[in-house]
Formats: sequence, C-alpha cells, structure tokens
Amino acid sequence: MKQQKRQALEGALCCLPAAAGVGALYLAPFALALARSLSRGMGGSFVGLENYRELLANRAFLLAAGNTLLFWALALPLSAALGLGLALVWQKGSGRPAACGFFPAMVPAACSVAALKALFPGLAFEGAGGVGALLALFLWKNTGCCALLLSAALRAVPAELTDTAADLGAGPWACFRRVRLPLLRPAFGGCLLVSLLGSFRVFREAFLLGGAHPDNALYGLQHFLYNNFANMNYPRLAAASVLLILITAGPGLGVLAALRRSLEGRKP
Amino acid sequence: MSRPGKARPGGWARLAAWGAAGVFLWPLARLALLSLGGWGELLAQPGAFARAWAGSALVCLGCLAGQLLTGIPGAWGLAQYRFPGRRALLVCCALLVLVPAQAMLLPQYLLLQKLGLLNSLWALILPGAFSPLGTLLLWRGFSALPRELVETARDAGAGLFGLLGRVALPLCRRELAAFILISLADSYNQLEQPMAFIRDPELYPLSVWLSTGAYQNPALPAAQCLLSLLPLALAFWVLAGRGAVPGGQAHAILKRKKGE
Repeated sequence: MKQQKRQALEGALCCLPAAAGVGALYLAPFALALARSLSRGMGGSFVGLENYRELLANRAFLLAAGNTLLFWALALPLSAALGLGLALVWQKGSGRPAACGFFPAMVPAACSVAALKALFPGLAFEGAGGVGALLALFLWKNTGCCALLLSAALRAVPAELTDTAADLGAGPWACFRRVRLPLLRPAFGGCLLVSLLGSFRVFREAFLLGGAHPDNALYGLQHFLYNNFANMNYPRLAAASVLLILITAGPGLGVLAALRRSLEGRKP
Repeated sequence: MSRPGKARPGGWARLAAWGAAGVFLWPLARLALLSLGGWGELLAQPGAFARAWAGSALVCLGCLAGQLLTGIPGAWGLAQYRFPGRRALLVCCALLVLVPAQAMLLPQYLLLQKLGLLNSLWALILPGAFSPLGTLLLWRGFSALPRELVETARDAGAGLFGLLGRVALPLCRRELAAFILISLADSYNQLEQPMAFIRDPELYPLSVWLSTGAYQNPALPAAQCLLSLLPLALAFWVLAGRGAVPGGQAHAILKRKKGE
C-alpha cells in the first residue's frame, strides 16, 4: 500500500509543472475572462448574462460568425477531398513529396501574403475573389496536413483485405470505395480537427490582407476581436472569448465522454 | 493515380507525386524570383530585421524550454503512473488543443495585465510555456513503451532522469521531433499575441515586423520574408528527417514492426 502511495505521489509530482501550466495559463485566464464577461463598466458591477445577450444581437459578431461558418462549409470538405487525392498520389515511394506538401503549413503569415501578392499582383481582397484567395491560401497550407494523415491511414489498411476483395472479383474502384474508404473514417475525423485548427490560423492571413476593416464578405472573428481590442471593449470581448472557448471545447468534452462510455463498455 | 497493390512507384507515379509537390512549392519559388532584387539592400542594412529576428528567436527558445520542462515530466507522469486527477489533466490537455489561440487572447491579456508583464517579451514567452498538443504527443509515445523495458530499467536502479534520458526519450525520438517542430513553428509564426500584448514596435517579433512598414523596392519585403523562412525551413529539414513528419518514416517503422 505504501509503495502504491509513493508511486501516486511520484506521478503527481511529475505532472505538477504541467498542471501548473494548465491552471495558470489557461484556467486562471478563463476565470478572469468569465468574471469580466459577467460584469460591466469600470466598477465591475455584476450584470449577469447581459453581455452575452448583447453579443448575440451584435451585427458585427453575427456577420463574423456567419462568414466563418460559410468558410468552413467550403474549406473543410475541399481540404479533405484534395487531401485524399494527394494521399493516393503520394502513398507510394519516399515521403519527400509529401513533406514538401506539408511545408506550407509552416510558412509565416506575412510570407504567405507576400507569396500571394507575388503570384497575383493585382488582387483586390474583396468579395468572392477575396474569399477565393483566402480559400486558396487555406488549401495551400492545410491540404498537405490532411494528405499526411490520410496517407498514414491508407498505409495502415492491411493488404490482405484489398487482396481478398480483388480475389473475390472486385475492381480497383470497388476495392477503394468499399474496403479502404470506410476504414479511413477516423482519419477523416482527424482531418476535420486539423482543418478546423488550420482555419483559425489562416485567419491571420485574412487579417494581414484585409486590414482591420475589410470587405463584408471577409469580416471574420479575428477582425471582430481586434477591433473590440482596439476599442478596449473588454466585457464584450470577454463574452466572445468565453463563448468561443465553450463552443470549441464543449463538443470535445461530449466526444470524450461518449468515447469513454464506449471504451468502458468494451473493457473486460 | 497509382493502383493499390503495385509494388514500386513507376515513372508516371513519381512524376505525379513530384508534380503535386511542385504545386505546393511554386508560390515560394515565385516569391524567391521576386526577391532577387532585394537581397543586396537587405544584407547591406540588416539592423531592424536582425533585432526583430533576435526577439523571435528568444521567444521561440523560451517557449520551447518551458514546454519541454512542463511537457516531458508531465507526459511521463500521465503515462506511467496512476493518481487521482490524472484523467482530468488528460482531458484538459485534449480540450485545450481544440481551443484556438484567438479565444485565449483576451483571457491571457487580463492575466498578463494583472502580472504587469504586458509590453515585454515575457508576455509572449509565458503564455507559450505549456503545450497541450505536445504533451499529448509525448504521452502517446511514452504510453507505447513496453512495460518490461521500463521495469527492467527501474530495477537496474535508474532514477527519473535516467529513465527519461536513457530509455523514454531516445525511443520516442519521432514524438520529440514533432513536439519541437510544432513548438518552434507556432512560436515563430504567432501574430495575434504580439499584436495584442505588445505596444512598443521595437519589441515586435519578426512575424509582426514583416508586415509593418512601406517599401519603395517591392523586392525587399520579399527578400525579408524568404530570409525569415530560412530558419524554419532548416528546422523542418532537420526535424522531418528525425521523423517529425510522418511519411517516408512510416515505411521504416512499418518494416520494423513487421520484423519484430
């Protein structure tokens, strides 16, 4: 028993710096923002959910949210589909072409913008053309990551499965659609996650291209946040931040809980 | 597209593979072409660029140090021990990966304001001192270590540092390389945090500095951008070779697994 207790203590001590990091750098700021979002004015009087109500009626916020959702509806499927195609092209042979496709993800925002301007000198960042440019930037940076994920998953499909299917008379397309594609579902989930995170990063380029007050079609969350920052509208900003944190982390919590239930159900 | 089941990539497959890779590298090549006129000017007067780069480098190294110091023991504790609160910490890390940096901008601003660290490089290093994604990566690597190996090392008298330095980390080189690459790229490329936390333009790291200022010669900013890309490309080349990027490495690992 003493041995177990000592082990537990050792483990807890190992995790102490990490736990301190989580607490001090994420939980404490979250608490501060939550408190700020529930109050208003210099004195900090408690106003309950008033800031949230105001936020959800704020036209700029709604515009930003709408544009973000629209962008995701276009970008996420495209990235996954192109990623799959690239994974098929890159699956044999050395990993070097795939690594080249992954490299754009590392390029700083200022560089991407400079490259875009080098390719399309006359580009005006507005309207459908602007959204197209942003989409192209996103695909440039993100498709390589999706391709890597899908490529690893494709390699993990046991050859026996496709061989058996081929022996049973299935053509290459049927082999692909019926055998390999369904096994890629977790990898597509991973693609979705990576693409969501990548889309938040490509908003940096959107900010650099459009400035603080871009065209309506391109007004995004980062513009909303930046402008409210500049105006020092902290309660509204705090409400938006808390909402964003809950919206991104909330479903994750739900997924984890569901996973745990299914895992515990299967454990002996 | 190559058919599944073909043993070796034929000529067409290789052409397609490198052609696709070329599409991704072409914008950078175009930028390089544009930058040709600017290198002379950049190398003659590197002052402001060098200062901004030094700031970036300091922030990157500071963040990396913090992340390694919190992440390596943390991942080890999560993987090899059982204690109350372990699962909560794991869940926290997983959820934090999902939260975008923009959402944490104001919360961290409020904290830094209270600590009086705004408008200094610490405002960039401190929030970046812990990496949930990196810790999870290392946790997965450490969890996959064979139990007998760890037990044997412990029985042979290895303490925590010995276990980590001689057993765990050398076997988890891929995860460590990926950790370092992600950390460096994120710190080097961060844009929102410097813009929000730092007022003094002299302190701006390279990522922000590159987008400020107007230039007569359009080749100059192109050259600056490419120069700023070089350290990242170098890190990418070194760390991808150590397995940070799954790809060519996967072949070797699969072969190893089949042979065991």
